[in-house]
Amino acid sequence: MAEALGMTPLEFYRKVLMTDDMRNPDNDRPITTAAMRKALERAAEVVDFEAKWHEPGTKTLPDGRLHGVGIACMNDRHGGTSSGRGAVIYMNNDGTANFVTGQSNNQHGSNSVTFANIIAETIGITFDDVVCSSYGTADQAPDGGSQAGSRGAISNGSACQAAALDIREQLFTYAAEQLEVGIEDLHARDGKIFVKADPSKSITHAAVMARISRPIIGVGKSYDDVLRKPFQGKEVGERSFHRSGVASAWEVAVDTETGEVEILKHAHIYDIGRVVDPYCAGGQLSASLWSQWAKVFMWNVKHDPQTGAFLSQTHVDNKTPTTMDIDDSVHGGEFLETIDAVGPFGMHGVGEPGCQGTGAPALTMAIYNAIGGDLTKIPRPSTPVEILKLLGKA
Amino acid sequence: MNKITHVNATSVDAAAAELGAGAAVIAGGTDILGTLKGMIYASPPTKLVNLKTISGLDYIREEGGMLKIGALATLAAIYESSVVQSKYPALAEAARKVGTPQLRNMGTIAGNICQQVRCWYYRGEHVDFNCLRKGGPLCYMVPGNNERHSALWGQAGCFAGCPSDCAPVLVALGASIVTNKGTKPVADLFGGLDITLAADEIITEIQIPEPAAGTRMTYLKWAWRKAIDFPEVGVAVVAVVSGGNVSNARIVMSGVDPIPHRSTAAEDAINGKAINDVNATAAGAEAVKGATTLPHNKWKVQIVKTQVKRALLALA
Repeated sequence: MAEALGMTPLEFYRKVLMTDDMRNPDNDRPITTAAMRKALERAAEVVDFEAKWHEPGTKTLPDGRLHGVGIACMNDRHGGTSSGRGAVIYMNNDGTANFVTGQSNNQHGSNSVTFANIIAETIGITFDDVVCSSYGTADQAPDGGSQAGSRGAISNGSACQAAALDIREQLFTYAAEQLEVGIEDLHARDGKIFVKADPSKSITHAAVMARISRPIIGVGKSYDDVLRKPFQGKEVGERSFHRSGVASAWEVAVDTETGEVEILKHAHIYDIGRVVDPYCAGGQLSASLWSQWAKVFMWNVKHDPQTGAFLSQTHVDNKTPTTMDIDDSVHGGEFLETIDAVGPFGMHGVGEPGCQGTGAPALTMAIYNAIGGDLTKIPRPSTPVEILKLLGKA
Repeated sequence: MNKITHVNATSVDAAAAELGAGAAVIAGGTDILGTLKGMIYASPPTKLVNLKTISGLDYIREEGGMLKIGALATLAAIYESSVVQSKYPALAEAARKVGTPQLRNMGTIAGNICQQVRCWYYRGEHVDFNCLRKGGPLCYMVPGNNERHSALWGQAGCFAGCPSDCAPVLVALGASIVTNKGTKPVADLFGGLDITLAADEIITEIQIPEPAAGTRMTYLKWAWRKAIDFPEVGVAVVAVVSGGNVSNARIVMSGVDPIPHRSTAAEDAINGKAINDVNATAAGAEAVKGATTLPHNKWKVQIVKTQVKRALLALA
């Protein structure tokens, strides 16, 4: 469309993307995360898209290879309906907390890191004092709902936050009596509950628990109505949706003698709201980049044309990239932290959008920008053989 | 699952005595175990004679004006060898480009040159393509999907590409194999549909003559991935470069013929000439003359031309 309109892809996107001040035309609710435009601009900045874009098939590098850049972006909103989720927190006599959740421990981090952080921050104890006792087991944990949709942080994360608020209220009730202030005058951090106006007046969580002299239990749940929160005068938050903006940009060099494509530069910008666990979220981002690269260059199956027999039976031929193919230059990317009004501490969730959205189309656009011709004729995967065919050499 | 007898041989003679109908040798095992696990043979071996238990066959040493490599020397040992790296860098490069570190730690030099083709009709797991190599009536690669693993030159009707990285280098270096029955050029190991070893013949050593003064060499591998994959086009070039001109060039390729494919036409095109883009391109063009392209492998012609050119330019 951009080409037909005589615009660069970036100019086209800038023309059509929504901005923060827009509202959902269906219900007049404010847009809680309009990060696609921000992600796009950042991706363009990283690869210097405006300076490097050219008419397709018109730039040759000094070494004879063809040069190209491509960019793509998307706004993601998926997940939605499912059963409500629950979480239970047990506050122990020593001021530590155990919790159970129906969420599976995705990427070994959603529960042990992200949820534990939500709970620690809400109750005001340290991360080290929160332990996930059990997860994902129907006989011990509350229903965790469907484990899909990239929205664990929104759904089960919100349930954990609600349970932590329940604990916090119970603790503050006792602490307020001890400190002779109102509950609303209190705050908690690093295992200590203190008076906001005078932090020297404080009591530790452990001391409160010792005086209560019995465990206390916090219960939290999340479902559509619970997730709605006021924002700019409107209730926002529609179901347990994952909401994010993603953008990718690639700069490539195409070897016209072998059909091989080298990645010169890339940008993969993913708005996941508050980044609580950078290590695990980074794993999601790298895995999504890997899959986007593989979609463009490798994933394919081969059959015998006469019998239909499956020929690419093993990973010798049903190829998946090795670490030698996708080196450090293709790993990574950046997170954009636009704080969502709905998710706990501004989280959006993380997962599928990075894998399914923009990397592959942006890469295909970069190949098109390099070799020119007909964009619709660029096949997936764009193996060296297919590139050579497009160049009339195979 | 077929029952297989496993015999640990303690000497070459003892191993040879165990060979015969239904028996096969195993050393690194990286090739034959794949054929067994994939159940690609209607009549798989019933006995495996293990050569790894024979001591003293994994050496790499210079002796008598040549490099001698024991048949059980691993590919990892070869590319890590300082003498191989300094005097036979093309062989070091070829060994380094095989498979993965794990495969190179297990795979042996003799196994690498004797391995079976990777043709997806021949290797099809649980799929009965009774091809020429299995005694069947035709090479399914010819009428079938020949985008990968296919050759541009056939042998006895078979169009599966040679999968060895080291074989073309050894042929280009004029290497010989020593077996329990004699010595012959590596090039003569390959014939028709199979290697030319007798049923009870075992490779014990590879002998590579010391390169003449001024010899330069390289091995360029084109594969789908930068690791694991077998060469679709592997180009070994060994030549004397003196005064800027090439002589005694030997250009041998894997992946384009069921056997290591020597292109004397490309050699003739570059011998006596300087290494430059024009002459290298001309040699690349000569290298594909006489090629038989199949419906889906015309792309290999382009890769051969390019890789021969680039290999020659790398000698400059």
